[in-house]
Amino acid sequence: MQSKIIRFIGFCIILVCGCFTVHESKAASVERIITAEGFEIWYLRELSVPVISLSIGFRGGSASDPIGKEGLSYFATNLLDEGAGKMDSQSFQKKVTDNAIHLNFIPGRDITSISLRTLSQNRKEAFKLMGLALTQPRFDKEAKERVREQILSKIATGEKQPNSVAIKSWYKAMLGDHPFSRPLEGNTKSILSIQKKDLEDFIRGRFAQDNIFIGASGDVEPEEIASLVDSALKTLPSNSLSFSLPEVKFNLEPHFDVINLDIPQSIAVFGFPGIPRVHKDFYAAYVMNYILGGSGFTSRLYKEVREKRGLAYSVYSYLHTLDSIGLIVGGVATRNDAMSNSIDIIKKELSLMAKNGITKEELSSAKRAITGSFPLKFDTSSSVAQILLSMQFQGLNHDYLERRNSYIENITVTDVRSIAKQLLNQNKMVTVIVGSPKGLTSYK
Amino acid sequence: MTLIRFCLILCSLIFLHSSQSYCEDIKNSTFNATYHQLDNGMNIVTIPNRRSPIVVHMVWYHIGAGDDPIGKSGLSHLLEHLMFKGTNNFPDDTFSRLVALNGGRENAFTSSDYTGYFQRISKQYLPLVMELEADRMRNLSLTEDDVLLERDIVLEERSSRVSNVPSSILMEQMYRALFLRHPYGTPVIGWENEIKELNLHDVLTFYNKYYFPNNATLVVAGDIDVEDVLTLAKQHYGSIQPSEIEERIRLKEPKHVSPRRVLFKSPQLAQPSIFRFYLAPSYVSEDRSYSFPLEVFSEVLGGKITSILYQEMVVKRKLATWAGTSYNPMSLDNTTFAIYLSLKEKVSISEAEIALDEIIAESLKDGFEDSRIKAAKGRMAANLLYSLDNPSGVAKIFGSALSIGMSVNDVENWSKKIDSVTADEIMNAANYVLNADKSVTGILIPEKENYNAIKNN
Repeated sequence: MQSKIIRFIGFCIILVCGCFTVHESKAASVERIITAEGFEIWYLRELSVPVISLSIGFRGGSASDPIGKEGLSYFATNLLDEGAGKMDSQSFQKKVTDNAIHLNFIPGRDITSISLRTLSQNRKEAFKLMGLALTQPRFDKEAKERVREQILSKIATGEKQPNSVAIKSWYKAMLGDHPFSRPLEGNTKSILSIQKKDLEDFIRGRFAQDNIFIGASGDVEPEEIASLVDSALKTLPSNSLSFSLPEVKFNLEPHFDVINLDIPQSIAVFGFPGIPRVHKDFYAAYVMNYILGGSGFTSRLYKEVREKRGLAYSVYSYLHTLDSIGLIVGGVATRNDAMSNSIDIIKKELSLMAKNGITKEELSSAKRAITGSFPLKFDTSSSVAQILLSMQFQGLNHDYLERRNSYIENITVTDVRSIAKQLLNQNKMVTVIVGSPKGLTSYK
Repeated sequence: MTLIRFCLILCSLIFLHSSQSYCEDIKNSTFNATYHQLDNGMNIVTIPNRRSPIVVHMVWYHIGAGDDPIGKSGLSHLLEHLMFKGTNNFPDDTFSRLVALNGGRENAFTSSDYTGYFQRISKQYLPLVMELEADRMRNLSLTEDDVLLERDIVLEERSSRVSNVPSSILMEQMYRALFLRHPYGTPVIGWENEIKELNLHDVLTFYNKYYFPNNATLVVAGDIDVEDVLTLAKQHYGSIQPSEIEERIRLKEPKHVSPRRVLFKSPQLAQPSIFRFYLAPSYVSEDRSYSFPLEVFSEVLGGKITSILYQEMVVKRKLATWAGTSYNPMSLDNTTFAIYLSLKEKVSISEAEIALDEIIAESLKDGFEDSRIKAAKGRMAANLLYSLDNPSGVAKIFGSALSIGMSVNDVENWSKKIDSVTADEIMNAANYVLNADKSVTGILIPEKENYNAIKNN
């Protein structure tokens, strides 16, 4: 990497981290800005639209909520725009909406994120409001009780929706009691027990300068982004409170669970333990999954289950990575009398992939498709900001954008076969079906 | 907070035979969009946006579920699926394979008024996707087996979207109750019993009647040169012969004289919800002058959590956990103004409904403060600017507008129209539309638990 260091009269440092050639005409530079207050921002400048997007993440999400207070991070996150500083909920929301600011708080299992999108002309107000939300949330009683009701309602609804029941049960079966298996929003009992002090403790514990990741894109000079971030976040405490998660113990046996519900179409979630984002074989697994069930209309699962047999509208698989672990998750929805057949076909495809891997032709097509589609991820400023945040959170280098396609290009047929054999092991497969699938019963 | 999204899937709208003059060549200051027309009658809208080296290529046919023959609901949607089955030039899945191979993404959608096909891909592959899309406009090659298999897939789609989702079932019934005669009362995906009877002959008849260049709009957005796009469009689409397209005649609504009510009970619900639909004008319907004021009305009444409805129902009266409105006039014929309330667990439905009617009555009588109107207009204008940040989003705005007979200029003028709406116009429009006699109220009621299996698990 050829980095240049530019100093702006002692205020901030900008490292140009290589040119990412999204643009043929003008190579876009991912800049690494160190602000005067010491915040690091990864920034991709984009002048063509009058919009600025910022993504902020703090390490720690629902998995690190205290026992008995599950859903705390979800609750706190959803209250951040319900009053801050001297403004109550109504005044804060009025400022946000009157300035057409899009401020979203996104709870996660291992990260808590904030996404800000503003018209350039309203940037000062937007950053100010975001800063207030992160540093001086009020947790007023009215807002707190109203949002508590909303979360309780969501929990109650989720317990009855087949999709939500299927995915929650799948996580539980795959990860056991590990906190990664918890629903983001907690449970009725834990949400009822959360007090104002818990919410304040969460903010104090996570929202700190040593625990923050920032990605940004938009129509503004890098020096100005630096000063906007500084003025919004400089009062964040320096240090977060540390937390630790137990080691993940994946399910290691075949697990097949049918949850009976009287609906016309059964919903299945299936999958395996995977590998973390920074694992050396991640890209081999990525290519494998692309061919298996990740490539939409051209994947093997789509061809076999939908296109050849008409058994489902939706069938897919994806890699899901959390802080230290990875998962392979798939799904299919099929009429009750055909679910058994769909599952057999999927299992056969999983076996074939585990046994034979992929062909040279499949590999070369997949490489061309995956590398060629990379620019599509950069077509809105908010997705760019989010990518720049994720890169930091996932421990990727700042030259990732230029190098990513070469990681894909380097994958061989042998790499894919070997990771497929390792990962698609049906002795570790967890399947959960919600519905009334004909001829299928639980075994575990 | 945006914990619970207001997610009414409103069935959308139509098209009117396009009457733009040849090559308006309108420059648009917001979107920089231009309009052209090929000799065969195909509309072309180009929207340059150079933020990344990709293009969005879309073809919109001015035909949709509102044009399905009586008794053959779901036909236009089934055809949309079958358009991926190949031609003699590009058989089987060649289309999708080539798009994927070159790093593209593609899909298609059907509404009541139009059917759209699109690809997002690196700009050097624009000629490829144009060649493919132009080819399938007239050369689709289908067998009876293709249709039977795809019909099964559509039935699975219907199960996922409707049969397994209580709110979708209720809304399907509400649309049926709201539209006494007009085809917007029929679901876009079709009724299950009618989907099961669709056949190859139905599909080909529909395709051969409506899939012609003079019944379509091409939208190309992204990193493009307008002249290049026009040259390519002439090359690929220009040689396709037009055909006389029958005027779309849709049944008219009789006078609405009575409020209607639909209930749906399901064990898959935790709390009751109330929906209210009113018959409402579109941008191009007879009473279109009400559409812009009604958009502002909708934003003030139920647009955000600062809205009157949310503040009253959720914050002050504590009857609901969420409350909002939804109104999209981008529709060929009269459409729907919708209100949604998600009630708190132990609140009685009648208490919430009485409160809702009180709030509506007060708004209709007293009107809104000027500051609320001004703020709503500001938000609406800003949201238009945000759409510039997403080439696909911009392309969709123009595609749907031209599909219902609006012009590029109409889209450009939207902000001005919204800005010029007065408080009086808002009240006139609201009083005209929010008339109980032209409404349907839908109630979702939780039924006894049937998840015993889960509890025992």
